[in-house]
Amino acid sequence: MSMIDVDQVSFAYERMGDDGKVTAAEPAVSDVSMAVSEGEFVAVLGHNGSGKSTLAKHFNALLLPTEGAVYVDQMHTADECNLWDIRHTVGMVFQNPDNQIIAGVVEEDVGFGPENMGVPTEEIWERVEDSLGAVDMLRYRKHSPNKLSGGQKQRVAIAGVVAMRPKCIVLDEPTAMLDPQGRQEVLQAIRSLHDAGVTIVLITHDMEEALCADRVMVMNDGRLVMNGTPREVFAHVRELQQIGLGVPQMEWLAYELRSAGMPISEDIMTRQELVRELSALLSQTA
Amino acid sequence: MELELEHIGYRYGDALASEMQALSDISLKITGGEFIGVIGHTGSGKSTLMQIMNALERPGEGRVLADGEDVWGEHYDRRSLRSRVGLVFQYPEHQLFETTVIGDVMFGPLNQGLSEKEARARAEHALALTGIDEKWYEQSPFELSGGQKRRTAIAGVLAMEPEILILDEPTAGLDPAGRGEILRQISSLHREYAGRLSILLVSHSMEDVAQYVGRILVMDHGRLVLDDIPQRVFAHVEELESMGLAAPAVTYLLRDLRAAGIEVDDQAYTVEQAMQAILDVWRKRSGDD
Amino acid sequence: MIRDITIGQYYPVKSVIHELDPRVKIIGTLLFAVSLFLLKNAWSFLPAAILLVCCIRLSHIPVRFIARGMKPIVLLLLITAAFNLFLTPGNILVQFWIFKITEEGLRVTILTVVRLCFLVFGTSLMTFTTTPNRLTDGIESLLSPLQRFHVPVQELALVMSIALRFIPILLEETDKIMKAQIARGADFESGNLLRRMKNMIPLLVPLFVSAFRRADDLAMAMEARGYHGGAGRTKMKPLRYSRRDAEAFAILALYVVSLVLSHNIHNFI
Repeated sequence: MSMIDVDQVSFAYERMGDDGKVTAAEPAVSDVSMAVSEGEFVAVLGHNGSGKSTLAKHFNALLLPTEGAVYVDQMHTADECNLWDIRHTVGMVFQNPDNQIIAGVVEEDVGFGPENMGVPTEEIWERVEDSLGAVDMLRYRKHSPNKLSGGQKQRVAIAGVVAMRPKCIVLDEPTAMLDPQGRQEVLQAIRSLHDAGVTIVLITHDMEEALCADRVMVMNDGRLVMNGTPREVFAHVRELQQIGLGVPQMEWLAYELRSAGMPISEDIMTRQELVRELSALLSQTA
Repeated sequence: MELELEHIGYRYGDALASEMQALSDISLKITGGEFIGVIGHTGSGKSTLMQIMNALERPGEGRVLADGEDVWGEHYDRRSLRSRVGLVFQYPEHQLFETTVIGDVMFGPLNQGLSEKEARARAEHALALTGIDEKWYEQSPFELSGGQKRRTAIAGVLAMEPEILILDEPTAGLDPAGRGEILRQISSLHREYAGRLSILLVSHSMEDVAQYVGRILVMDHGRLVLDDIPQRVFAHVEELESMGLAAPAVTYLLRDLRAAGIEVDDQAYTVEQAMQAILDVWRKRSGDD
Repeated sequence: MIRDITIGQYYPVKSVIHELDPRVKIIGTLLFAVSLFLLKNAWSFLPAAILLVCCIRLSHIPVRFIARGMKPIVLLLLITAAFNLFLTPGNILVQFWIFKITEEGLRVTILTVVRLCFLVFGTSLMTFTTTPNRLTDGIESLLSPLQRFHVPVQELALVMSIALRFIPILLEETDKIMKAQIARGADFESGNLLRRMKNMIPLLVPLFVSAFRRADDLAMAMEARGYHGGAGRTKMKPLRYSRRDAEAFAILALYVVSLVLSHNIHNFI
């Protein structure tokens, strides 16, 4: 069953002149159709300005399409009556962890979403405990967010969304501002949410992060240019590099070796796979 | 110029600067024209160390010597030191403030006491070096794209014509294309000022650093634990891992191949080098047939 | 400089005072402050002193820490004292050069100094023992009757708590931008007032830009988390009076009675 259905969506940002009239429209998403199934883990890849974040904001009605339609769990996002149901169905995590934490104490911030939903007090406590546990931040519940590391803050932000018990979580470049350790922590949290059955849409420009997804979609200039399993997508090394995406070193190296004439198979993903192939190739002649 | 740190110690007592970390007993020397990578996880003290290098922070112990002179000496002109040791902070685009791009870049040179005309010439040169087109000069810096803003901010420091340029995570938050572009520009800058400009590149990414620098400083818990050429630093894989760092992915691959009994050169640390090393073995094998 | 100011900080220890309902502490502090200014009689300071000392002891906060809060107002205190001491007319006790100290002057001075000290101790005791969030909750709850007059109390309380959360972030940001501009040769220290104000532009513009960007992000995040005004919200930590709070109210009532008694003490003696 389809969690998110995007049907021929286009979106343009409007630029206002000094008189408040629309002077120009900058297209950010053009004619994109796609779907995310329930329980799936989808990565949306693209460089800055490719339209991936704009597309993501359509998934919980923060933006409405200029053309086309978006359905969340069969609800039309343009229908005003569905707005709060949609927000409760699809949660959203943003790039800058500092700018999405509202309260001065971790647990109170996680409680913010359920409070807005009108959840009874006892249940809020239950939800806060569960969601902090899900991102492994329970022991920091009484802390001030200001004293936490970037990765920890981002996990608090994720817990704040999890506490709303959404069926789907959209993460808009959640690791872009983090150091490698923080990034690992956040990816770990995302994977365990997916294991728990939450549908995940991860917006990123990092290929390594996209490796753990079930499906990868690549955006360029507002269009959806690739859509397939990580193996299928990462085989297109040159095309990916051309649209400004870095390819993980293993795929890149495999590609270069293949171009230099070594018979290496097309769907290398991990170091282990490449080591296996290379050691077979390099020792067979010996 | 030559910058030398002697047994630097620093303890942080400032409640505001939560990211600051204590430093202990750091000694190193930077000579003209070097390209150095500085690696360490968050809180390892690398940012503090960089601020000590241009006298924004005063070390509790030890001395900072610029061309042999103690920069914390009584009559030392620290303001002029700061223009000789340029420091580009993390997310430098957050410091843009002028109404025009060119005006913002001229801020540093004007503070150095240059005339309007000289400052403008310097600014134009710096903007050309960071690849900002002339058509943007009179635009507001807030109209630029993220990558352009960052390059404008870097130009703002470059226009002061420093002899040492320190960049604190210049690629943070950028996508691979933006990252590549900034790194390429920095390295071409280093070539352009051959011998006259030393660059310190602070980064989390071993891959980024490995590609460009000739020397790597590894910081951990306020100590300088490694200071060597890349090959020799990456040979300490286990040590790097114990600090929460890692060698570039290709280094691991080559080590794995060696462990599997293949006589491959495992000193390589970039994709090109690794490709060469593997092809060498491959061709030798094929040639033997 | 900023580090010296202890007023308004929270001192995290466990104590009876910390656990009191914030509304009790707010009402108590207000009552205490008002009482200080109504007192004319030296005797009536006795109950105030007893109440204050007991509360401080119960709060487990070192007296030295509270006293540090006096630092920023020492100058103010000295000036007020000097004015009262030398400028109050009345029975002259001591006289040298142009200065006269009168009996009334001495009396007023001591009263004023004691009053101010008590006031600072009392109010800082409230902030030391109550987190800003709890304080906001307390104010929100106490002001909630105003909602009937269409005052957006819940929204104001939210604004206050967000401000509290972002103050340290913006302070750190100020520090960073300042350093970045100093690295570009900016000078924030020398020159006359006009010059200095002009020199602040490279600091203030980026700070405002950043604050607006954060506000924008935050608004988006709040919307995504289903915030749609105060209506229909529930509370994770609703305020509920406990037995201990009832006891505290009883003590406050006793305090008021003892004040009235001590005020009229000359009628009994």
